[in-house]
Amino acid sequence: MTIAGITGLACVPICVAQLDEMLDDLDGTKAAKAAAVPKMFLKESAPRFFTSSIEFHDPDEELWPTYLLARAADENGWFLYDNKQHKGEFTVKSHLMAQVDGTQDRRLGGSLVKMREVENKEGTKYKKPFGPEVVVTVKKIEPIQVDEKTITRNTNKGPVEKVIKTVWSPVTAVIDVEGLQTTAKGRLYASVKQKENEVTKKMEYISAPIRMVFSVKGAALGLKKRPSKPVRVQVYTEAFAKMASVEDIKKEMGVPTVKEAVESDPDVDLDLDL
Amino acid sequence: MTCSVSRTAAFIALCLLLSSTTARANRLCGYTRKYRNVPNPAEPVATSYCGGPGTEYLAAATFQPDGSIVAGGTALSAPLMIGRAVQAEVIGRDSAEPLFDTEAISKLSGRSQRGHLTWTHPNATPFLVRFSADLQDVLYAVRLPWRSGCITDMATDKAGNVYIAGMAGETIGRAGAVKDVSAEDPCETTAYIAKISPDLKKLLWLRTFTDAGKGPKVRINDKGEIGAEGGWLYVFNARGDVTHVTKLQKVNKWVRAVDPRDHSYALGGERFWGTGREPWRDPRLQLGLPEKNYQMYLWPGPLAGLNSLRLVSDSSVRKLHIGDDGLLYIIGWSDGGNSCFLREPCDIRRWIAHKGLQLSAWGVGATSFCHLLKIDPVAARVRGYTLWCAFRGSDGAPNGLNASIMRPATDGSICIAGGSAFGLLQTGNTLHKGDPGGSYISVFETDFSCLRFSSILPACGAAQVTHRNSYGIATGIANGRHLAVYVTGARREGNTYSTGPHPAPTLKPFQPEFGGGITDGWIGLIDLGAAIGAEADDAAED
Repeated sequence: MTIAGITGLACVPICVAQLDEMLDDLDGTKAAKAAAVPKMFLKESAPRFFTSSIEFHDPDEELWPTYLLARAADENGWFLYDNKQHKGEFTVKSHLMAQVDGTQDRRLGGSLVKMREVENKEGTKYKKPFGPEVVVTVKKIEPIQVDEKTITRNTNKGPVEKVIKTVWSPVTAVIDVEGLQTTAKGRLYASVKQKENEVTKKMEYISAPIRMVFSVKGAALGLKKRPSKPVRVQVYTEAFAKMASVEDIKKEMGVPTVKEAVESDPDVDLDLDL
Repeated sequence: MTCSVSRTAAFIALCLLLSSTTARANRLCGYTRKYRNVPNPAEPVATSYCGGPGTEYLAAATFQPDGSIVAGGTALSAPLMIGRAVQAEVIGRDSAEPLFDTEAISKLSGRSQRGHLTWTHPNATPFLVRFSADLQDVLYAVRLPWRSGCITDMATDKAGNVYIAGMAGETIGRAGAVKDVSAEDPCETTAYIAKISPDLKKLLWLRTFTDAGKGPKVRINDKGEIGAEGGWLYVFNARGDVTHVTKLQKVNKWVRAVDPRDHSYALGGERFWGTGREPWRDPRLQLGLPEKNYQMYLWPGPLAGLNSLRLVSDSSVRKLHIGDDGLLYIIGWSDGGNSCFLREPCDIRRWIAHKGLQLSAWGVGATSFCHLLKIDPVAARVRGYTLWCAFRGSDGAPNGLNASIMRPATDGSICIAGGSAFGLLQTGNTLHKGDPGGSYISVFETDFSCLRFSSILPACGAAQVTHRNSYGIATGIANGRHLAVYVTGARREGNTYSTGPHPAPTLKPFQPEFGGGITDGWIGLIDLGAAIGAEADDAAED
């Protein structure tokens, strides 16, 4: 059995994510929990897996969207979750465009795909398509606003009205597409969740999933094929605060480290999925 | 006091455990009850063994303009008797009967035996059988010389001429004059297409071409063009002249389908992402239109695995088919419920609108799920979808299942066949009453929103009739009815988990019992409903 097999991990949302309830309970325990949310970081080096995406969507959905896999651009990004005003400065940078091969005439960001010469392992040069480099830098996050919408749901006991609250923050960011910069105002949605170990119940990390939505004219993004309405630029990212290292949790569970495993069993396969 | 509290806690825990187990166990029972009496059932009309003392199987079928059914199959050993009474006539100069050690092969088990029952066997000999429209009589049977090849696909034109395609055997030249039309570089494997007269008595022309190793296919479009798909696509006119050759991308481990209307094609497969974080396998779909080439799915693994998406199930495109209307039919595979097949092929954040049978994948471990999709390639939107899986009898958790062929019927219903672990969902008119596991056939509504027919077929699916597929499906209109014909190879008997052995199910059969050898053919006729209005008129004109 691999160490990964032994270590069961789970994601659970915590109550601070229910901000609309917290706003009604600022002096209560929920607010206290919110205050306990630590400063979180958006770093290029950690976590090692990708955390972000930058997306261009046609509001009329005539052109296919463009998805760019992204991550924090540097080591300096931070985000502080606050139930009155989130704070933070961070930059998200694209690394890889999805569906970059093939004809791009039906894709919103298709005109931004460029062919570049690359070299394979044998030294043979060939041309390969690459997506654009897009950088989104958050400059300013304003105080939280709450939208309320009343919807009617049909239940067994007849129609029931329910008020849906949406909590968001006005955000200002600079969007850079292949050097073409534009400043955009949009909405930022954030929540908080924690990832805990299934066995030890010890919190592994706490994170803030962040979604930002901007409306930007196609010309400002350098698009040749532009929809009739402004392009919806959507950025998903996640800020992390490390609470306990995976190694610490493994140690607590008695799982040997790679080094210990090798020393105790000389036949151990070093290519195990650890 | 402490004891009392702990007893109460234990009782509550036991109740929760039992309620959870009951809910899961009820899932198989609940779905089975739900689909026992479906609102629009497809009814089996007749099913039968079809073979003689030798080893043979059926691989493809078509409907003739007069309503009769022509099935094509492959014989691996002599003698070839159909319905145990009709001796197959021979087209061309016959060759020596092939050697086939039935006794030794029948003692092999599992994969070793299946390796002898395939379309690539050197003994393969193509044969055709004409049945009456109600599948009650064998009217005529014919074969090509022994070891002249197999049949993997067939079609009928408006005049009733039958086109068969398959891999060419060493004696293909004895069937008649052969002309090679290969435009590719020489290839070891050679496919053939043959035109047979409507009465099945004459070989009108025979062509060979290179193959891609996936089993040659033949389609006829509205313009009467005969498209034979091997390594490339060769388009013939009725006289057997090549009118057009389309260079198709090589497939290797991929799957491919060709649009009969404009000969554009689609490729499907998977891509591995060595990121160390799920999903590792992502489906890819490529639409090759003239001068254009669109990518669908092919989401980078790290993108599908983002915490904001969590589509972490390994997924893959396993089978492709393009219907006469240009819609793309996909059989997808995934190892869990969180698959990117739940999202639009060009927009991973957009849920598909269709929910299909709405089977619950909750509580699954790692298994094989089947995703059935119908995609409009122009709009790049899913027009029909369902998750398709079995459910365990012990605890009701989802269980593994696969589909190896999917074909749309003339009324829009979708016919599939494959293999299932224990717990296939069957309709009330199932052909088998034992344990619900093994080889199966199913018919869905046009958008997969409901089942129309589903049944386990014990002892069936015994031969590989083409690349990774044990069934052939033909659909058509005859005598004012939409019909589907399933063909395959069937053993004398087979087990379905704890019950059996069972023979292959027969209903009003022309041959009620197994004929001999290792396998016989098996054929089933399913009535999909009345063809009304323009469809019936078109069929009558044809």
